[in-house]
Formats: sequence, C-alpha cells, structure tokens
Amino acid sequence: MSATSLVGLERWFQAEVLRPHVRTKRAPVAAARHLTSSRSLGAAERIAIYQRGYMLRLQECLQSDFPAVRRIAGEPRFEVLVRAYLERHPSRHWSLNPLGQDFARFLEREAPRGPRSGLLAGLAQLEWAMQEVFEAPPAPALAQDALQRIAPADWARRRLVPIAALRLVACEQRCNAIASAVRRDEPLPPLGRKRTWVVVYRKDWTVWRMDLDALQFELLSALCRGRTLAQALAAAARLHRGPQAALQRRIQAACASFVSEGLFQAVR
Amino acid sequence: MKSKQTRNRFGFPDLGIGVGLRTAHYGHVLEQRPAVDWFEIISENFLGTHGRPGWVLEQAAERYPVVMHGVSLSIGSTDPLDFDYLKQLKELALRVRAPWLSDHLCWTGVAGRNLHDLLPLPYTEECLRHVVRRVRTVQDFLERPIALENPSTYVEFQSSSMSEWEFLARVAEEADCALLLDVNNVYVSSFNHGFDAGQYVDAIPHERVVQYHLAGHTNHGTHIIDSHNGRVIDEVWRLYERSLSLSGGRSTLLEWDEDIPSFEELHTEALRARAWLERARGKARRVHVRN
Repeated sequence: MSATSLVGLERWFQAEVLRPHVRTKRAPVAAARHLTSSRSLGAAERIAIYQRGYMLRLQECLQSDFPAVRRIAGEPRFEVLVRAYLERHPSRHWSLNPLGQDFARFLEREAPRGPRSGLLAGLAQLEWAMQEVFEAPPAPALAQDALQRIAPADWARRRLVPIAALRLVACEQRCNAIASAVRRDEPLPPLGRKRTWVVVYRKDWTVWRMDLDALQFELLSALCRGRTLAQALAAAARLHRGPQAALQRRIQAACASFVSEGLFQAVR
Repeated sequence: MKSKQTRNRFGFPDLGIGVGLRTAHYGHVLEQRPAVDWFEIISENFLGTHGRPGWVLEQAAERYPVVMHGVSLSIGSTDPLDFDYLKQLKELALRVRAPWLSDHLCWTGVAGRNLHDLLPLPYTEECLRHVVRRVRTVQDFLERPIALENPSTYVEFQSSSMSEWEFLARVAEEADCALLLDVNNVYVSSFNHGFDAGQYVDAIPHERVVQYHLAGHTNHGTHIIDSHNGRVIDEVWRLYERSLSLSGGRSTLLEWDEDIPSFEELHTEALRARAWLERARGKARRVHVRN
C-alpha cells in the first residue's frame, strides 16, 4: 500500500487524528509530508483541528448521555474515563446513539479504580437504560382490567409480555435519586451504600423512572423474564415477611401499578 | 459567459426556504404549525430509532416536505459501502416521501471505525474515480440521484492535483449526481485555504444544484470553523446572491445547530434569504420570457 494512495492517505490521516487519544508505538509521520500549510497555520496545526474536534464531539455525546456520572466523577475524572473508554470502545457505527452502550460495563470492569467506582458504574447503568428505553419500539399497553379478566384457573400458566421500552436496574446506591437530583440541579442525596431498585419505562413518549422495593423488583423481573404469573408470585413471596393477607395486598397493588403504568403489552 | 439556469436538471422541486427539524423545536412545530416551507432532517437521527423523534417526524412529514441530509454515507471512504445503512436510508426516504437525500463529499472513517467527522479528501484522479464509482452504486441502490454537499475543510493534501471546485464539478458530472451547495462552507474553506470564493461559485455546474445551505461560523483568526451557530455574515449572503444569479433560485436551508435560538429567531434569519431568492427568480422569469 503506497503512502500516497487513497487507502494509504486515509489510514494515515485517521491514525493522525487519533494519535493524541490512543496509545501507539507507531512512529508519527510528519503532517507536512502529506498536508500543506496555510498562510496562518502549519500542517500539524491544521490536522490538530480534527484531533480536537474528534474528542470534543464524542465527549459531548457521552456528557449528554451520562450527566449523573459526570457530576459524581467530576469533570477531570470524567474526561479521563471517557478518553480511556473511547480508546477501548471506539465508535464503529454510523450513528452516535450507541456510543455509550458499553460505558457501564467499562466502568464496572475495565476502568481504572477510583473513589465511588461502584456508584459510577451503577449510575451509568441507569442512565444507559434511559437511553435504551427512549429508543425502543412502541407498543400498545394492556387494558387496565386485563388482569381481572384472567380466569382464576388460568393464572398459574399465564405470562405477561413486557413492553420493549422497559428496563430494570438494581443498584448498590441511591442511583435514581442521584440521577434525579443532577437533572433538577438539586442537592445530592447521600452517596453511601443503600440497595435500590428502579424500573425505567416509557409512557406516552416520556421516559419515566419508578422506584421499587425488593419484592416489586423481584416480581417484575420474573414477569419480564417470561415466568408465569404463578412462578413470578412465588418468587416475590420468598421476599415477604409477614401475614399472607399483607403479601396478597402488596402483590395486587404492585400488579395494578405495573398495568396502569403500561408496563405490559399482552397476556399469553 | 455562463448562462443562467432556471431549473435543476433533476426536476427536483423548488421548496422555498427551510430550516432544520431540531429537538429543541419539536413542541413548537407540532403545536404552532409554523408557516415554514420545508424541513431538513439529519437522517441518522431517525434511523434505527423508535422513540419520540420518529413520531414527531411522522407528524411533521404529514404537513411539511421533509428533505433528508446525512452525515455517515462516507462516500469517499476506502471501506466498503454499508448497505444496511443504505437500506435504512431508502426505507426512511419512502416513509417521509423525501423529495431528495443528500450527504457530504467526504469520508468518516476506515478500518471499520467512524470518527463522526466530515474528513477531507485529496483531490486526485484516483479519488475522483473512486468517489464516482461509489456515487453511482449508491444512486443505483437508492433508485434516485443523491445530492452531495461541499464540506468545509481545514487541511489540503500535497497530492491534490486539482482544485476543490473542479473536483466537485467533475464528481457531479461523471456520477450524474446533484449538488447541495453550502455557500457558508465555500466561504469557510476559501478563508482556510486562501482561494477565491467567487471563483469557486462560478465554476459550479448550477444546473446540478438542487439546494443551498446557509449558516454561521466561528472565526478564530487563523482559521474558521464551520460551527453552525449564529447569523449568516454579509460575505456569505453575497456569495449566495452570486450563486443565485447563476442558478435562478433553489431550495434554501438555514443551518443553525449550536446555541440553537427560538424557532421564531431561527425562521426569521432563514427568511432573510427570501429577498435574494425573489430577486433571482424575478430576473430568471424575465430572461425566460425575453428568450
């Protein structure tokens, strides 16, 4: 491949645009070998415009998708994390939309450890769930009385089909409260450990987040995993401490809430 | 002497003055139904997504002409064309009944990467043949001509053997494609590379121009960045007028994508083009009648 062939030039140019942002052992080829100078800028200064633009553009995208991560990490650390992420997970898609799809996993498993690493990973998981729910296909929600119309004899074997625009997130911290505070520019809640559960869903084109307790989360998770109603109820019941009547009320309230929020599209 | 063109050779409609369909204005567009001639969308924002933007687009397309403008065709890349992407473009164009599709004369990455930037091409015979071949393939697949836009650039290659305007004109002629003439980009590139913007405009085959872009930019002294913010400066309006005198008028769009103002302010700025357009169309009609 000749360095001045189109293939050679494009590979060289791309490598030069990425050079400040990746670790490479390749020796640089002086920009002036392939590029001209202008009356005001040398060749290296001209390609630097693209080098800066590349990182700025992708940073902006991730800042937009992960505002809570950015706030908790702080600007300098967020920038370091983003640079490390983009080096390991460069964009290979024609859209910027999926750029952050591996960010939560990166923070959890690959990123350099630092203060509140676990919290950052949890927030990223929640914020990416919001993006996925935003982009998901729409589906008509179940009618409000759909559950009542299931014959008692059929309950054991029926399954509820969740809408595509739904994600469940379990966190070791108050991720949902933190995300809300950041978005409303309010004081942050305590950042210490507290197990929380959230359902992220879309209703009427708006993305919502609803806090759940452990029982509700287990119930909804089981239903979304395709368990029958009976199986899901049994899974949730294992987390209940107290009278059976109270369990029944909790389950009924949870199911009514799930249906009224449009979390399901069909009964199978 | 160049003759004035009054129609583009592709029969694309003259839609008037349009603006970009941007998230910040969704509510206004749907609720107020502003008297705008047409909208341009960034195609990639509506491919592979099923959320609210797609619904807003459907509503808008029922009331307004919607033209598609892409940033990821990467027509100059030495990577293979992405036919999954092209298939989605084609389907979207059918859904919104897009009068035409456009993208940039550039590349966005190789070796499977996307740098999400409009990267510059060397103006060589090899590159010309490569781009022409790919444009023909894309047009065959989409079953319609596409419009290529001249991007603003910040570097020039030592290996270039012709000017940007000659390269652009030859691509358009040999691939038989349309042109989206971004007058602001002509100005920006002329500043960055020290060429005569008027000479560039004069050299364009105006019968192939189906649309104009106008925009603001950011002048850093040593170079100008095509930042798509702020108002159109006087020099760009003059270039626009110069091009109109040669084309007789075409669909015109104001790009304002950063520091986006209210819809009213955006549309008011776009409508400044009306005076020049009407003058150009009026002169074109008089020439036609006289002949």
